[in-house]
Amino acid sequence: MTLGGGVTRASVGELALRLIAIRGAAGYAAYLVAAGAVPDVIAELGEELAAFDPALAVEALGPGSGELLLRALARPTREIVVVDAAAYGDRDWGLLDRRRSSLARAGLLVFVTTPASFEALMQTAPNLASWLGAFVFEQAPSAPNNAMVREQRLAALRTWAQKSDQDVIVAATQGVLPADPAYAEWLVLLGRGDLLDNG
Amino acid sequence: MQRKDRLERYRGVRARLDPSGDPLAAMAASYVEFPRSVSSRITAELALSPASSHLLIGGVGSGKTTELLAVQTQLAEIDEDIRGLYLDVSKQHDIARMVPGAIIVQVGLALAGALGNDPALEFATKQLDELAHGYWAAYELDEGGDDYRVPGILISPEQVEDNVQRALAPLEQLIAALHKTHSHLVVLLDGLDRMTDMAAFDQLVSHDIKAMVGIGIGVVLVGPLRALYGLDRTMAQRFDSLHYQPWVDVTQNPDAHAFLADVLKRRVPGDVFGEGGIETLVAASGGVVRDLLTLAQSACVEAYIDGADQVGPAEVAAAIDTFGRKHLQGLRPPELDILQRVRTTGSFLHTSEDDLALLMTRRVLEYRDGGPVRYAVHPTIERLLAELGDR
Repeated sequence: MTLGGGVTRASVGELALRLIAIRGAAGYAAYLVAAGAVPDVIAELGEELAAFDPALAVEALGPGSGELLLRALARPTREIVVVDAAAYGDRDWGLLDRRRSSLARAGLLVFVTTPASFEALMQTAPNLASWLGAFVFEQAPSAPNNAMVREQRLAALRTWAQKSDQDVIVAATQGVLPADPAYAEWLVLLGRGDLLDNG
Repeated sequence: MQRKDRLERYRGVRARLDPSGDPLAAMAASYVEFPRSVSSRITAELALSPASSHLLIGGVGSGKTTELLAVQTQLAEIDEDIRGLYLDVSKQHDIARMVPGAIIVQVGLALAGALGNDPALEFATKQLDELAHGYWAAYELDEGGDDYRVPGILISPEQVEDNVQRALAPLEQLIAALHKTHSHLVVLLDGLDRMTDMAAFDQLVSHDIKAMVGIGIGVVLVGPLRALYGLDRTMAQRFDSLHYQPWVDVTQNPDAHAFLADVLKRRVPGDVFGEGGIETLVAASGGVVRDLLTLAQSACVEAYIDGADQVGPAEVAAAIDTFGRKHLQGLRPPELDILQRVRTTGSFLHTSEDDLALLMTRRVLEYRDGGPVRYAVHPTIERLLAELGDR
């Protein structure tokens, strides 16, 4: 079921920001997107994460079943693993639930899947669901996932702050950018998420 | 606080709040023992009767693994003659395909690993390894033919028992070696709470657990929650003791509230959460330890995104709302009806599979803190259910 708009919405950029914030320890997350959009979203998430930290090791996996995912995770993997789980149903989530211990890893594991697949997870994998905790988000429909929308958002930010892109980059470089999260979003949209660490 | 410092601060706190990390490391750093804990009771009973068997039942996220590890630690402290051996049996084997002997083989391999590279134990270890992972065997074909044996479909009860005995023989050799340093072995078996096939669980208890207790091994087994309900309740009678690891009733029991607040305070610096933040998170957790940790983690992330130096009411509320919205996914209309009934009346009957599923997924929480059993919906979904009911 989808209750009151379903799970909390977040753009791909906001999801990336959250993942950056939880780096450094084990973490599990799910991101719900429309069927058919999963490959594009995974690619976009990789770009957003790279904008924050070009050195960040991200690996996209597309194993077609829970069993194949377990095999893939048995090999050394990168710090953040993003899994295309759109095709996973009861059988896959049930297996991952029973073998949850085999999903344990030092870095982050992000399932990008559809709302229907996630419903199956919530029905058949209570143990895995408990690991996800509150790190479950649904793609915001207005997410800046293309150049036009991105430019519209940047224009709105410039008007709001009465500043240019260059002003923001200079301020971030000098470590004097205000703490308002809109500035963090601004840097990410400019592909300069790396400057967030200068604050 | 500068943004970079804020990020490092919240990352550090989040790592200490990780509910999915190494429980042994978390225990060493920040274990808080609940008054009259299950681990203390099990340890005391094992000290008196080292070859006894114990079934530990508890809801998802209630801290069963932590309690098993606490038993292992406490056994070493209370009697150095008893060796505790923790084992997550779901790591090496798909527990949906449990067969008699599978637990014994895993215990044997774990014990062989714990005993080190003793050449005298090589044969027993090899036997167990072959039983676990299979082996190539040469066999002679019938004279003059190219026939080969096709395994039969029927598995006789004797064959099942043979498998158990084949696994037990090398384990007994390893136990004999252990007796040079310890009088008793207690195995602490984790992961079987995720079994859904109760007939397979029953078979495992009838064969593996019975056989291990029969050769003097103490067993503590984490079992499925459904073993507490309905016809499956008879399962508990196969053990010397049944132990229940409850969700703690943070709204009715001040000690329980203080315990969970302490769990958080042990992990985070005092100034991370604003006034009332910890109390709100404890109440929202419903007394589920893992949910408390994950809610606190999420609130920290929200604070970082908001550019806040301290986790305030807005961040705590955002974490609770996000958790609750996720927690309501996957529910069918009949389950929603049950939840509304529990929310408004506290009435809950666990008679159907749907009812049990609500308990197993923590949408409904059951409290057994000594008084009458109490039921409530998970606090993170209470407001959302009320909004849904008003429509």
